[in-house]
Amino acid sequence: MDLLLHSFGNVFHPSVMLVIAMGVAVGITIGALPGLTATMGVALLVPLTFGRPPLESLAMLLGLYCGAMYGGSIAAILVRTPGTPAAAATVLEGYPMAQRGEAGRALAMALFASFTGGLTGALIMTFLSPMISHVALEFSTVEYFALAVFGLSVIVSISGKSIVKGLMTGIFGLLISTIGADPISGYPRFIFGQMDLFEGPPFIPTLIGLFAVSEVIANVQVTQSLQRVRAVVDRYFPSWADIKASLVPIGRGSVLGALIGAIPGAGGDIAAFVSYGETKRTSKHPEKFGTGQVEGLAASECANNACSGGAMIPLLSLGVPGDAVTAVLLGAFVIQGLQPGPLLYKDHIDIVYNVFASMIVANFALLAIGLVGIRLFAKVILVRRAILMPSILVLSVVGAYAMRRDVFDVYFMLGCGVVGYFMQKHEFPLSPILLALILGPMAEANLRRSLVVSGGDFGIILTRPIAVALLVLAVASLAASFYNHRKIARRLAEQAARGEPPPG
Amino acid sequence: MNRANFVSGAIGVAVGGGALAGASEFPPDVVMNVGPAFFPSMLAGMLVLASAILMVGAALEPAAAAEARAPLRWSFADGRVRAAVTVAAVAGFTLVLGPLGFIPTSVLFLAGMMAMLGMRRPLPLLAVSVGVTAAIWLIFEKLLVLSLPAGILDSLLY
Repeated sequence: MDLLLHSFGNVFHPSVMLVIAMGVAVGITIGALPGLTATMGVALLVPLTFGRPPLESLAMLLGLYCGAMYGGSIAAILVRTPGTPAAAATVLEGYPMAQRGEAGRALAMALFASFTGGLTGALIMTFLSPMISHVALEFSTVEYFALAVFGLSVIVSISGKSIVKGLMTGIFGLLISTIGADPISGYPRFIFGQMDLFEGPPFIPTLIGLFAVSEVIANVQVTQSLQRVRAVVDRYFPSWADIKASLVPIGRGSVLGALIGAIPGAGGDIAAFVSYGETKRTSKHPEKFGTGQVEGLAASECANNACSGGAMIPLLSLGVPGDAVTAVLLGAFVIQGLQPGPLLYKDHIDIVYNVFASMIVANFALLAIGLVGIRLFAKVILVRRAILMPSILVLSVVGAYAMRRDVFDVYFMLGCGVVGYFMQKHEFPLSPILLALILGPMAEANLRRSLVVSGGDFGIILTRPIAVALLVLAVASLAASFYNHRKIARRLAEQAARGEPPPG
Repeated sequence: MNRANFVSGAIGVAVGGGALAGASEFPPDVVMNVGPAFFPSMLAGMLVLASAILMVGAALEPAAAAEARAPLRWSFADGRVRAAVTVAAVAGFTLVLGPLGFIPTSVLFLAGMMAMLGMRRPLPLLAVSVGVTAAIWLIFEKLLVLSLPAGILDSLLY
C-alpha cells in the first residue's frame, strides 16, 4: 500500500498529469473516429515515447488506451458505427437512444459507465496482478513455454469467424517470429542477406503496418460520408434514475469485463457482448432490448473499459498480453528497457506500481476530460477522411523511421500494411500475428533452453505439472472452439434452410 | 468453390513450402537434436497443413452466387485505384525522404493525397499540408529530439 501511495505521488507530478490528459484526449479522439482503433492509436503513439522517461511514456499510452475504449462509444451512439470493435455492442442500445433524441443521455451514461468500469478494472488489476506474479516467480523455462502455447491457443481459437484462418494467421505470425538470429546458436534465419532483419522483424514498423497502414488502405476506398443523427448534447451526467437502473449491470459488467480481459486474447468486444447478453438475459423486459435501453448501453460500455484493466493483468504478471493493445504496450515496455512478467515485480516494482497508479488516475482524467469535452468529441467524428488518412500515413512513415532512422523499416511497414489489408479483406484476423510475434520467441527460446537442460529430452515437459496443465488447457481450448464453431455453423445452416435471415 | 479461400490456402502452402525448403539448409544441432531448423520446420509444416485444409474446404464449398464485380476504371473514382495509388505514394515518399527531406516530401505527399481523396480547394489543401507537416516535424525534431532527414532544406534548418 505504501508503494501505491508513493506511486500516486509520482503520477501527480504536473508533467505526468499532462501526458495522461494528452493521452486520454488523443485516445477519445482516435476512439471516436470510425476506422481508427485503440491498437492503431497506441501503435502510432509508441514512437513518441522514444527517449522519454518510462513513467511519462507508459502513463500517456495507458491514458490513450482508456480514452480510446470510451471514445468508441461516441461514434457508436451518433453514427451507428462503432469507433472501435469494442464498442460494437454499444450500437445496439446507443443508436436507438440517439434516434429518439436522447443522444446526450446516452453519451452521459456511456461516460459514467466507462469511468466506473475502467476504474473497477484498474483496481482489480492492482490487487490481482501481484498475486499472479508471485506464483509465476516459481515458473521455469518449461512453464513459460507452456504458457506461451496456451496464450497462442486461446488467441487463435477466439479470433475471427474461421478457426482454420485463425490458426493459419497464428502459425504465420510464429513463422515470421523465427526470422533473425536463432535464440540459442545465433544462426541467422530467413534474413536473405538483409542485416536489418538480424534482430528479427522490426516490431514497431510491423505493428504500424498491420494496424494503421492496412486500415488506411481500406479507408481510402470509401468515399461516402457518415450519416449522423441530430445530436443534442444537453446532458453531461446521467440522471439518478438512470444510474439506479444501471447499477447492477454496471457492477456485474465491470467484474465480467476485467475477468474476460484477463484471458489472453479476449478483447473488449467479447467482454461487452457477454456483459450485454447477461444484462438482457436477467432483465425483466428483455424484449425491449435493441430499442434503446440505458442499462444495456451501460452494461456494454462498462465491460469494454473494465477489460483494459483486466488485459493488463497477464501482461504485467506473466509478460503475456491480454489483447492486441496490450501487445503493443508490451513493445512500449521493451523500448523502455523493461520486460513485463514476474521479473518486473522483482527488479522494477516501482514501475509496476506507477503503472497501477497511472491507470487509476487515467480513469479519473477520462471522466474529467469526457465531461468537459463531450460536445467537442461529438464533433470529432465529422473530420474529413481526406485530411485524416494522409496525415495518419505521414505519422506512420515517421513512426516507423524514427527508431532506427532506417528506410528499410518504412518499406517493411508498407509491406506489412499491404499484407494486413489483404488478410483483413479475406477475413484473416490480424491480432494473432502480433501476439505470435511476442509469444513465438518466448515459446521457442524457453523450449530450447529446457531441452538444453534435459539434453534434448522432450520428457522434461511432463515432469512439470503446471506446464502439463497449461498444455492440456491449450488443447482443450482449441477443441472447444472447433466444437463451438461447428455448432454455430450447423445452427446457421438450419436457419438458412428454414429461410430465416442470419443474425447481425 | 470459394476462390478467395482457395487462393489464400495456395499462398499459405507456398509460404510454408518455401520456409520448409529454407529451413532444410540450416545447420543441425548434433548434441540436442533440436537446432535452428526445428521450430521453423515444425511451423512451416503446420502452415502447409492448415492451408491445405482451407484449400480443400474452399474446393468443396458450393459456389456462391457470382458477385457482380465492377470492371476496374482507371480513375480516382475507383476505390481500388485509390488504394493502389496510396501504396505507391507511400513507397515514393520513402524513396525521396532522404534526398528531398521530410518537410518538402511530406507537404507534397499530403497535398497529393488530399487532392486524390476529394479536397480540391487549393488554399485549405496547402494550409492543412503545411500545418500537419509542421506539427509532426516540431513534435519529432524539437520535442522528442528525433531527427528527420533535412534533405534540400539542410542549410536552412541547421
